[in-house]
Amino acid sequence: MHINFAVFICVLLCYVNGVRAGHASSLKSHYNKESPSYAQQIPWTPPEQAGVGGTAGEGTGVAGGGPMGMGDPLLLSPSSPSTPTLATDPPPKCSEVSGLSVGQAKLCLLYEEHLSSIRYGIQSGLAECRSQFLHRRWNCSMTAENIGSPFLGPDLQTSSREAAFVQAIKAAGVAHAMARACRDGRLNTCSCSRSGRPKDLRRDWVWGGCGDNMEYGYKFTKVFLDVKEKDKRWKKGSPEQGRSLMNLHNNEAGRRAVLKKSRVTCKCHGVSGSCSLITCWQQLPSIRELGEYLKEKYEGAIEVRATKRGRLQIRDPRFSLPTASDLVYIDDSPNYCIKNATAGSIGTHGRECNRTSHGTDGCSLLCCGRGYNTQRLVTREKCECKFHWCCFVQCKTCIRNAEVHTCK
Amino acid sequence: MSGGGVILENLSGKKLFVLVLVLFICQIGCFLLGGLLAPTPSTTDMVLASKCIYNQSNPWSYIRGTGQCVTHELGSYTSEYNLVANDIVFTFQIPTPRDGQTLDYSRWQQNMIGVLNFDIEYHTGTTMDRNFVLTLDTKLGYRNIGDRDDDWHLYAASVEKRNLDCVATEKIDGHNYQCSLVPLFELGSLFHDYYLINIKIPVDEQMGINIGLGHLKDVWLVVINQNGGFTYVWIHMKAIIFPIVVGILLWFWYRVYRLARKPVLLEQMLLIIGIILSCLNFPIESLSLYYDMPYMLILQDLRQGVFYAALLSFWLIFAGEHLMDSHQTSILTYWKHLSAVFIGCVALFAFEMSERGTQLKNPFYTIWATNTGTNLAMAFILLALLSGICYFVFLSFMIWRVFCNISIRRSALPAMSNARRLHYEGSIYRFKFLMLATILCAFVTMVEFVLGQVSEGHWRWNENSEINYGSAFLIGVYGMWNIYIFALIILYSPSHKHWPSEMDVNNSSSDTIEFSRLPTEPTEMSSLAAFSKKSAFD
Repeated sequence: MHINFAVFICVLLCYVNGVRAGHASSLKSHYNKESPSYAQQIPWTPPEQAGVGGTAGEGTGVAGGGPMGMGDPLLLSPSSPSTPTLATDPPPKCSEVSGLSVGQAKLCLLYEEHLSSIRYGIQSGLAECRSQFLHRRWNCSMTAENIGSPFLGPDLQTSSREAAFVQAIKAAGVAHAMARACRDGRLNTCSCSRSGRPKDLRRDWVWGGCGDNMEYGYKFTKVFLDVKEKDKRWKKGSPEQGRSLMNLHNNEAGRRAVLKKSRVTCKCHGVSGSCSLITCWQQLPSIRELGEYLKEKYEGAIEVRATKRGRLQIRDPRFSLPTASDLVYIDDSPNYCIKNATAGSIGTHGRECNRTSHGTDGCSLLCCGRGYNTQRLVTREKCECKFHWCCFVQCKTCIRNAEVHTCK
Repeated sequence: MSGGGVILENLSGKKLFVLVLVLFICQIGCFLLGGLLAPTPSTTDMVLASKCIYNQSNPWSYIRGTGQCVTHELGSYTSEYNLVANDIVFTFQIPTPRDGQTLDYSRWQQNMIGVLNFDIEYHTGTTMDRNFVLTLDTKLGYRNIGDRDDDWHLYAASVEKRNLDCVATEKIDGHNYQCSLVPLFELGSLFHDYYLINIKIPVDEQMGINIGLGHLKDVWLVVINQNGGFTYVWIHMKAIIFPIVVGILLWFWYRVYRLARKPVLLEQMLLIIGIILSCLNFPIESLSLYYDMPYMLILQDLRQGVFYAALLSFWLIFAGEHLMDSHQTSILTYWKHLSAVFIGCVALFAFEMSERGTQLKNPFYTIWATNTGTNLAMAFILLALLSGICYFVFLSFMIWRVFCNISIRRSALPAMSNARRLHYEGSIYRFKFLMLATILCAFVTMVEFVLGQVSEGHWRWNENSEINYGSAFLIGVYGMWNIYIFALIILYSPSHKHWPSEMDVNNSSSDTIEFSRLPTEPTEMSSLAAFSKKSAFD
């Protein structure tokens, strides 16, 4: 009948549970609304300094392969931390970064301190891609033709399902890294909320606190990655424009994955710690969770085609319209069995496979029926690793005497 | 009985309607004030710990300013012992810079709560126990604008034990454990500009301290602050309401004082609740802008608790006074019922003091950290809950009895003489009016409470909603109970209408005999008679 009753109950509930796990945000589909015209959410200076940054377009600066490299993907195991750390690499400079579009170059000059987070995000996204696809025919490998720009990471030239995934995981990685960088005080520019503040009264921060960092990460990523697609003006209905739309869509899907997988956590702190006052915040997901979520989206990716009016349309009308968090692709994937430079396939020749498995890592599937070589190898490797706080791993050395199968 | 002739009975329907309408508009105003002008009551800031290497020469590790520490990443663990746990200091220097400028805390932000969240990666070889007991060596420091970068002052330091409950939902390498939140500290005042938190997670093999903590990668600190804008609106609202309520209280007591009889119990109760409400309304928070008052949180909780206790007691006594069968005029008659309220309040007070009272000494203290503390706290809360249930049973029983009496009197009403009938009708009217108002207020409170919880819990990202349900709840409900008490004091103050006694036109001698049993004065009877005349006109 009155408040205290509610207070009593809540004191109990809240102390027993402590935290209430919430639910991911539900976001509306933007599928058809996302026309190529976008409002810029982050202002930039007039284009006086344009042209200082990298050149527009793709395919520049191939030599050297970039920091993410394409080396032997088998060397990367999913558990080994393969992402570079922010602390060790020197922060990149706009003048040194190539492969940015005109718009990105402008943004770069304005937000130079964001560069190391962007790089970190893209590389952790690609590392996650490699670990997600470790046992697939396509193991997130890119041929030299697909290397793209060393800074923004490779792009597959074929507009395939895999290209969609790469695009999305890079966007997710960047949004994730930006939100993270805001939170450890590494970035100065993460913004405060300005909502509802009377003019000339007090500073935003004192009045209404600061906005969520995830929002900043999302918005900045949206502007920075999408401007690349919008810088180029393609003829409506051309394959290039279709690819551009596809990239925009998959970028959005990647960014939204960060929001979708974030967890809302709440704390009660009302009178006597009761729940009359409750405050919630969003916890960032781990990059592994993002990878798994996007892998699911990859499996359920929807095939689309570019219409003459410059829109994407589902190819098979029996399927439902893709939401903003679904991946879309235009071209069918190659089978990735044999080396095909233009399709971005390095082939499965020489890949290690599992003879007994019937899954994607099994020899019959992975080797595409070409058969496999068997070698008897004695290997020493770390096993039964135990992690200890602080900061060391205790592993046993196992001597493995096993047959290693490699695809012909 | 409380004496016939309160203003409520003598007010014409039109005037009552206008009054209720005005109060209702004030109420809407309060909700709009909270929902539109005030920002959300509190905001969070999530800070990622910087992992500093401990430097013997500097007691404080911090990451900005001269003398900043060397940081280390915990993303990958190596097979060599190049670091020991005691070398790593998790450092939070708050507030973090935003919008390209260094921010500082403002005293308008009132208080601060810190909650830790641990990112621990799952590995198949390493399993963590559920209910892991974490030992944290914590230190809280502060600095003000104008101090040197390294001039950190110690605020509190403590070695704390906390329960960390981590579950691996999917047992996949590289996933993070789902860990429970770890409450770290609670500051009752935010007097200084910058704060620094240094946490070590020491390991001691012999004592078994922090053994079995897995691959700890990151520590997050969630800082919850009251918003300056909310404090601003809150203090100003209180500053406006306070003199109004005090004024109406003086007016009320002056009327009671001018009566020829002594104040009855209900009038005393109204006075008490008015005084307590004024204490609650007094904007003492504004002092914290000038003085360091860490006890402000306790003070606020206490004031609110005393107000609720007074309100609960008032309802009980009000129902009792309208039983219409006996003449209870002393507060002692209700000791049985009131003891439920009293025990509940004492239990909550004990809980409050053991949690927030201790936090005055040590902001890192929490009663929930240890098992005995948790049991004790649960015992207090259960006791409060039990007495709350007892109270509800008492109150419901009393209201039920009043309604029984009402239906009995109703059937007898036509046979009664005029004055006596009016007396009972007045009593029934008063009771029903209060019941209606109370139920309405309680209902609105509930709805707003749920709305506030849902709107906050269901994170509505990307929707720039202009309405803050959280603030609307707090400010609206606060305003509502003020308006409620305000209306009670006005409507239930003794009526002076037709104060010079008129002729008792309709009273027969038998009625007078009956009335002599009631503690009413002739003047009040005459006002009843005046009421009867007026209703005859209507």
